This record gives sequence, C-alpha cells and structure tokens, in this order.
Amino acid sequence: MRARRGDRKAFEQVLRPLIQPAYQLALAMLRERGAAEDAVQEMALKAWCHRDRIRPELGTIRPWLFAIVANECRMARRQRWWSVLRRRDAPAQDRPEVDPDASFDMRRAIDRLPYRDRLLLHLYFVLDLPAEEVAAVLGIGLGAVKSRLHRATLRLRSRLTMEVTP
Amino acid sequence: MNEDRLAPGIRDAFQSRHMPSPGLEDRVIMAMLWDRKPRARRLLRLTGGASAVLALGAVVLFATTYGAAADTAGRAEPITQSEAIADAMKQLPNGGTGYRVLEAQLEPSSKHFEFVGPNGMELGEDQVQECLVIPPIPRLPLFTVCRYYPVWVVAFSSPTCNADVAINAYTGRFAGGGSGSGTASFEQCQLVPESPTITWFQPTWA
Repeated sequence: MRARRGDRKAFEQVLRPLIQPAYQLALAMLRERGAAEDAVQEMALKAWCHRDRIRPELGTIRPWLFAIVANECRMARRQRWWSVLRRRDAPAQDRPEVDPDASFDMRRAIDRLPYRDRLLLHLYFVLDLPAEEVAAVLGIGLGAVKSRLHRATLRLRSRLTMEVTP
Repeated sequence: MNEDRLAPGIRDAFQSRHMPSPGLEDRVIMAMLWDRKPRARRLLRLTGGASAVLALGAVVLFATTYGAAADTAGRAEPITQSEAIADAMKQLPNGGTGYRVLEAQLEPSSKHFEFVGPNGMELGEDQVQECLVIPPIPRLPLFTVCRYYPVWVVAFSSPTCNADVAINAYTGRFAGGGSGSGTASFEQCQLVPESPTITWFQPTWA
C-alpha cells in the first residue's frame, strides 16, 4: 500500500527480490544479456510510473511486474535490429549438463515454438508461477492457461519426436 | 516423454542458456527516476486512440499502393547468391573487408534458418516479415499490414567478429542482422547502421 502511495523504500522492498527472476525471464525471451537488463530496467521504471495500478489486495505485484517485462521483451523483439536474426553464444564449457544431446534437442525444440508458448513455458516451468499468476501475467483466464499449456507441451513433444527421428 | 520428464527437460533447456547478472538489483535501483510522478492514464488512452485512428486511416489510404507493390514482389525472381552476398557485405564494417562467407542460404518461406558455426556458435533466424509503415505513424499490431518474404541469409566470420545478415531475396534490401564475438567488443562487431532513407516496407519479426 505504501509503495502505491509513492513510498520509495517500500517500492524498492517489493521490487528488489523480483529483479533477478524478471531478468531470467527477459534473458530467456531475448537471449541477450544487455537487452534483458534493459528490459528489467524499463520494467522497474514503468512500474514506478504506474505505481497507482498496484493492487495491494492481491498480495503480490509479481504477475504485474512480469507482465510488464514480458511486454518489454515483446516490443524489443519487434525492433529491427533485434530480431530478425539472433546469434546465440556457444554454451559455456563449465555449465553442467546431464545429457548434452537431449538438452540441445530440447533447446532447439523450444526455440521453434512461438514466442507466447516459450513465455508460457518459462513462467510455468522455470519460474514456477502458479497457474493463476501465469494467467495474470498473460492477461488470460485460468482455463486458457491450462489449455495453452497442454497445447504447448504437445507441440514441444511433437517437435522433439521430429528432432530424434532421422 | 511424459509430463514428469518434460518439466525438468524444459527447465534445463532454459537454464542452460542463463547468464548471471550479478549486482543487477543495485544497478536497477540506482538508475531509478524516483521523482517521476504517476502517469495520467487518460492522456495515454487519448494519445493511443488518436494514433490508432490515424494509423487506420493511413492503411486504408495506402491499401492500393500496398497491393500494387505486393503484386510486383510476387512476380519477381529472387536475386542470385552472389548478388545477395554482395548486398550483405555492404552491411559489414569496411564493406566486409576481412570477413569470409561461412554459409549462404535462401529461405523461401523466411523461416527457421539454423546453422552451427565452426566455434559452436548457433545462428538462427526467426520469421521475417515486412510491414507497411507510413512515417510518422508507428507500427501498430492491429492495423499494420505485414507479409512474409523470402530472404537470403548469409553468415560471415572474421578473426574477431561473426555476423549474419538477411537480405530480401526479391529486392536485395537489408532485412536485418546480428553480430557478436567472444573476443571483440560489441561496438567493434556492430553492423553498419542502415541508411536513413525512408522505406515504407519495414522488416520486422513475427
């Protein structure tokens, strides 16, 4: 409530723990560290500018902040220099991977999913958001989240099958 | 693969690309403009509404032009690989001096160019569209007419930088690109900025 009224310290207190998860989401969507950091900075600025939209009765501003960062990523991807072609750095050698081949196939399969599916999967499986919060981030109903999740995992499965079938 | 196995796989796939950003919290908080007042929603809505009306009017006004241009594009023959490489090289620093071509590929449907470079670096291309944009009206998702078009994608490498450039396969026009390197700075590897000439058909990502 204090954050909504413009209390800087209170706002910082709710914002700070959400910055790294927001960055994780932005990085997964944009795949470039600088751009992901910019998206998070924009998220913080916009949230502060629109702090009158904070709804204390919800108990968390997480879905609202993630919705802002997801929108920032969507806009960043529309920009010309972004998106048309993306370069991904070679994976770091010291990163632990259980099964590099399986991980590579999964990455490729995820890359081929539409943006909204990747966003949904990241929110649900990586950030572990409950379906209700995913719905709030995406601005859709709970039923729609479940059906989209089902369709996205089906698409992913079929792409994985295609990857392993010669 | 069942749901239980899929979930960790998805998590691992996303996390394998994670790059930590230590101290981001402090940097974000430090860069905050705390003296900003909450924005007036009403004014934003009015501005957005006015832009939408203007964009709609512009699209209707120029629909004939667009149709004619699309017709022309539909009948055109794609440019050759060497022409595409020459056009792509113009987008590199110093006209591409020091760069060699790793691969050139015509993408008829403009989707899913994928290539793994000699150093394990993955290059990828998403769906390239071009959209009718009439300056100064911004591109609005609901009102802007877009279409796919074929691209030539050319991957380049130099001792310090790598780059990939997409070229409209009908017009030879620059359709976007990316560059980077593990050794040189981002500025050193940046592509040559586009010329400031106004083009109505702007490439974009779908």
